[in-house]
Amino acid sequence: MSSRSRKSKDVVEGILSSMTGTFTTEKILKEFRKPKDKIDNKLCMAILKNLVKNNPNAKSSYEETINNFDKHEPYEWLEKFLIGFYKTEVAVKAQGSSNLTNSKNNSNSNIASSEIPQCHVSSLSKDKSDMLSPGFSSTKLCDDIAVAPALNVADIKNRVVQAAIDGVSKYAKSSVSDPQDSPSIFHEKRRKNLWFLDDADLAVVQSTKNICVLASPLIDQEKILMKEILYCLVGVPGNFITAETIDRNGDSLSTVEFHISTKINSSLKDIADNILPLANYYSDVERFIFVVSSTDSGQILQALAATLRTFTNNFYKTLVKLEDEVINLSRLYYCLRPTLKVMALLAEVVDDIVRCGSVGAKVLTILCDKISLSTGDAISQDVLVDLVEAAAVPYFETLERWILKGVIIDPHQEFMIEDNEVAGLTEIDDIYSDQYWSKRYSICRDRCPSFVAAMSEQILRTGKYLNVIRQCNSESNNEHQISKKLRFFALKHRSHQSFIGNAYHFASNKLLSLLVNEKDLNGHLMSIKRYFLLQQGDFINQFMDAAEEELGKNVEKIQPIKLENLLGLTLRTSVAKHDPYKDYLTCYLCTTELTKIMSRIHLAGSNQLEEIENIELVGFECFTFSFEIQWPMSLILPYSIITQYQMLFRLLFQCKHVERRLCSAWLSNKNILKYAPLSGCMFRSTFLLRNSMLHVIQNLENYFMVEVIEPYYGEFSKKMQSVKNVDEVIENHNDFVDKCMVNCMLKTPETLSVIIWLFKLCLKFSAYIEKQKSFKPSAEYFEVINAFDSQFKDSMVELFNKINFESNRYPTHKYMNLIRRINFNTFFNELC
Amino acid sequence: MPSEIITLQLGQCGNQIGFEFWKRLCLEHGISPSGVIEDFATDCVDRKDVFFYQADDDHYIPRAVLLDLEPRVINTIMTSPYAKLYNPENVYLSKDGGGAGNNWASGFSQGEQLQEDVFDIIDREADGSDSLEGFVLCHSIAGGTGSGMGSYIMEKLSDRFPKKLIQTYSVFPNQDEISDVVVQPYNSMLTLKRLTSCADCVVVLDNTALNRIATDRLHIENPSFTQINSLVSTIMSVSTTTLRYPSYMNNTLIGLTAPLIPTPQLHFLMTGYTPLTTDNDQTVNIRKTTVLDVMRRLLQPKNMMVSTGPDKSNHHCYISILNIIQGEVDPTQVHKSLQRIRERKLAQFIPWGPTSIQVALSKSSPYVQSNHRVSGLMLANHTSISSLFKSALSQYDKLRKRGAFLDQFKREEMFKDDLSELDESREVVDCLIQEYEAATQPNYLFWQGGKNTTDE
Repeated sequence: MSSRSRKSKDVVEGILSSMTGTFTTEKILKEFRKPKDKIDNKLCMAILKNLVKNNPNAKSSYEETINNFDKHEPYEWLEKFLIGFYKTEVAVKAQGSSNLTNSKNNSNSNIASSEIPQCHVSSLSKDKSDMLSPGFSSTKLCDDIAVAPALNVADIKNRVVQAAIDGVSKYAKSSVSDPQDSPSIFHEKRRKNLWFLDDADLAVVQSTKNICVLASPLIDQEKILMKEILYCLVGVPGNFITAETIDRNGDSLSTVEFHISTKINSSLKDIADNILPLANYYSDVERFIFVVSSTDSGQILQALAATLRTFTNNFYKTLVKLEDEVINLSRLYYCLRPTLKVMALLAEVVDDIVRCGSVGAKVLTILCDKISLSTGDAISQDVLVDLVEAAAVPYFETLERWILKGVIIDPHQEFMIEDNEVAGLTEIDDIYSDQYWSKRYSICRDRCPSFVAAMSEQILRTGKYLNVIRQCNSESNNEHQISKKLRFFALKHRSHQSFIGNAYHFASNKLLSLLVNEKDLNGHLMSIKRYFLLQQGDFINQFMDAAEEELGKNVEKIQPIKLENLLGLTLRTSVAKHDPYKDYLTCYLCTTELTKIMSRIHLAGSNQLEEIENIELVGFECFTFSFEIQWPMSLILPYSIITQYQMLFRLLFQCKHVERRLCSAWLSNKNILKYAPLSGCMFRSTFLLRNSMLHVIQNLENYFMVEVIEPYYGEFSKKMQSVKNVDEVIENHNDFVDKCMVNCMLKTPETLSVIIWLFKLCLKFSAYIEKQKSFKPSAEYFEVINAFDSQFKDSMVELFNKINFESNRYPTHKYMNLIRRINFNTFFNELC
Repeated sequence: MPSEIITLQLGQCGNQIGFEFWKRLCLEHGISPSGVIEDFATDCVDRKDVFFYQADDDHYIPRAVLLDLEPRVINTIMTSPYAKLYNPENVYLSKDGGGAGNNWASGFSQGEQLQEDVFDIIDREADGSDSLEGFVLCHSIAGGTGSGMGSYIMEKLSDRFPKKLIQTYSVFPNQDEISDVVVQPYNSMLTLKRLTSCADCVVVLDNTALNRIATDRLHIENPSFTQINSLVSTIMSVSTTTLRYPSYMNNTLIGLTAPLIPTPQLHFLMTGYTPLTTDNDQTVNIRKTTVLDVMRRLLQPKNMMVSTGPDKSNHHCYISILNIIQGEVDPTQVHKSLQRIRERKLAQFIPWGPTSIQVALSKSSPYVQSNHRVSGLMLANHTSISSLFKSALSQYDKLRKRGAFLDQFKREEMFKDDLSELDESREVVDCLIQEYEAATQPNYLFWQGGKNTTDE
């Protein structure tokens, strides 16, 4: 008690001393900010009188204020007085009067501070650009004040007015003062000022000790504290509640913490301590909104911020209501509890987002995760569901545009699909179509919200398909049967899943039918098989007949034009003439040996390799077809696949060539019989070697064609009948080609090189015996034949060993079938 | 127009089976008897130009040359609905019209006399082809025209076209019935010599086996020529199916023949066909036709078109086999079937070289409805064919010992001075038999058969 009375004495002394001295603006303000029941009426009136004394015109406003002394809070008196005073002062000057009134209206009421954020919010929610200037005209007010006559007293008054709207005007000034600044600096300043707190302000607040409050009874303390809390909740600091900005992480993570003066009664403080976190939360949320709105943060964050703003708006409304109704602190706490919870949740969400630096789809993922974490907590879940559903709206609009139209409009790079369009490539371009499917659009996993992650492949394909369809036939109607708008329902995953599913099925069916029906996919595949896999036997034979001479030359001496002509002629005269795609077939001479290509691919593991020119090669070794694939067929038959077909072709073509040479040797052998029927026995070793070679080569061919290509093709066609989308087609087709490559030994370079070596041996042999015209062969002839024979046997042994080795490594492959075929009557057993 | 094949039909038998063959081809390719393509057959999945060429008015004309010394069969053909099919310039009847009187020597010498006219036709046909692959000769070896004139033409062909393949469909006489042609053993022997030395591939059509199949398997009491010939035409058409419906493999006559014939002498092929049914046989449906079944049945002697007699020493073996399978075949079944046959040792193969059962999966004509899911033709080079030559040889020897019926031969220029031609022919056939015997042995490579060894 004694200390209290001593304190009151100090207060009185302070007042008396202040009476004698000149008033500073700060002092005046401080006086008037005191609650009604604590104010010293005399002091205030003295102050006012002092202000008025130099201006007789203002007398009326002074009197009016005095009369109203009991009706209003002291601060209100001051305001009213100042307004009246100002009217008389400035009435003469017509200029800027309207602005002035406007601004006065704004700062008119005591709860102006709670209104300010409201208009702030509404103006903010209108447009981001509006954020650059605050939603109220305090700036103008300041300017007007500045142009007002610089009278001594008037200046003080001006400063008082200015101080009353201190934070706001400062905030406005700072925001307006440097609009040209770079966003980060701008951001920084704004952040600091967000809480209307300034070092100067704090100094002002702290400099005065509210001795009278501390001295007043608990009930009065409570009232003051409640007021302060309410202010504080909307960001205005008070005398006892101080705010401290804590830089947690240097930059955007700084938060504001509120401290209650220890001088406040602890019982009140305890309750206040319960409420104050709300201010923290609110500050977090508000700052988040601010940061998001002020920066180029993307549509999702903007949408989230807008939703958060509706929450803060409701929060203001609650506060306004409470201010009028609530009479004590515990009641206030009671009333604020639901809000506290919601705001805590929002703050937590905001904090999570800020901490992870999340933007775009990640925000949605965080929100969804939160929803699942808050299972059982219906209120939180509702809030979160509201948030995520609103935040997802722009994302789902983008998504809808993509899956229904195949268009990406994504200025902030938030959408999960990225368009990697390479400028300068036309649609018909080879490389373009080659890479189109795999490279043009890609999924960016970071931007894929968790609730569509499972469908990301489908989403990617849907738009991709639509794009292809559009590029193929612009006039075709892409009208969707789905009219329902895509919306995200956080708790009903099925709704958007089925929507995406429908869109996907529509697009995939459309594209598949486009490729299969309009673009004749099967016809293309048949043509490819016909030419590259030698299915059209008569065409190949006829072409080989025609081009035999040319292809027998060294690759350098071959005239490609001649080959093209021969090819064209053959295409027109064989059964192939009925093939609609025959004109796309051209010749190509690849000057790298097949074995070299394959071993390089094998070693490098990729198809990217430079050609090593080997001009020693004969035409037959280099020759391959080339097939021009038109868009969009090149999606399924890209250049890389055609290259693989070419490798298969080269192998089969060489095999065929060897077979033909051996048959030709057979034909020349038959004459030996005719002219020297009884010398047959002398040539028997030649015949048998030739027969063995022919046997091996024909079985090799049979194996390649009947056991590898044909069954796998059958498998592939079977799959094609039940195929659902283009990606499956591509996958199945690639699988078919790969299986053929593997089982035709193209992927096992060592085996392949033995086979190629065998080819060469057979060619040498048949050339040698075709040259042999004499029916009385020399001893040298038999030596050569014997050498051929042992070489052949050696290579067979090697082939068998290699195949055995490979088939042990890959038991699922068909390699063993080849051995069983070649060694059907176990003739080669004695060799191995 | 690649790999054309010219068909020569000689004598009564040759023209009859040739006629059936063309009928069959027309049916399979959807060509009407007058050579016009049928409306339903315009989608062109087949290759017609191996056996046909197109006239200016687009109608299809067989690359066939019809030769006979007596008009009966050719007149029948020329009064049939198919008369307009053939190029009339390719139908050659000797002006004499008296035939060869079932005398080889008469046919041979008439062939010699008429060779200019005949080779005018053949040359014209050959010139009309872009890349002639070979000739197919249809004849019987027992009569006069087919055997005698055929022999002469074969000799000339192999001289004139050394790089072309000469394949024959040679009908061997029925040994079960007594022939009205008494000099049949001589005719056979003389023709066999030419078949051995001039032809590159002989598809043996044994009348004995064909009759047996007709009676035993098709349950026809007295099979007519038409019924037998329809069997023959089936074999001929199926054996050319890979040429006419080309696919991956065996799409040239050489590619088809070369692997079957490892050494030039051993070029006599047997054929087998399954399922064997007549058109109105409904019991067929109890059969199960998988690839394995077809391939297994093809290895059974009862389905062979050659009757080889019992193999007492059980040493005969396959030199090579080609199975042409038609119908709905899953390619993966082929390998399984081959493995099964290999495991069960259903076929015995030569010990001196690599060989296997080659399987050609062939498309079949979309215009001919077959009531079999899978059907198969086997072309096999089997050493037991020598038994056929052996019996021909023994019949010849019987006759020759008695010197019977040689008068009509001696009337001809060739045999005026001596009968050494007959003896030489016998020698060649005997040598052939020995070579087939030798081919059953592992040391065939070093076998020094033939005249040289016998002389030494």
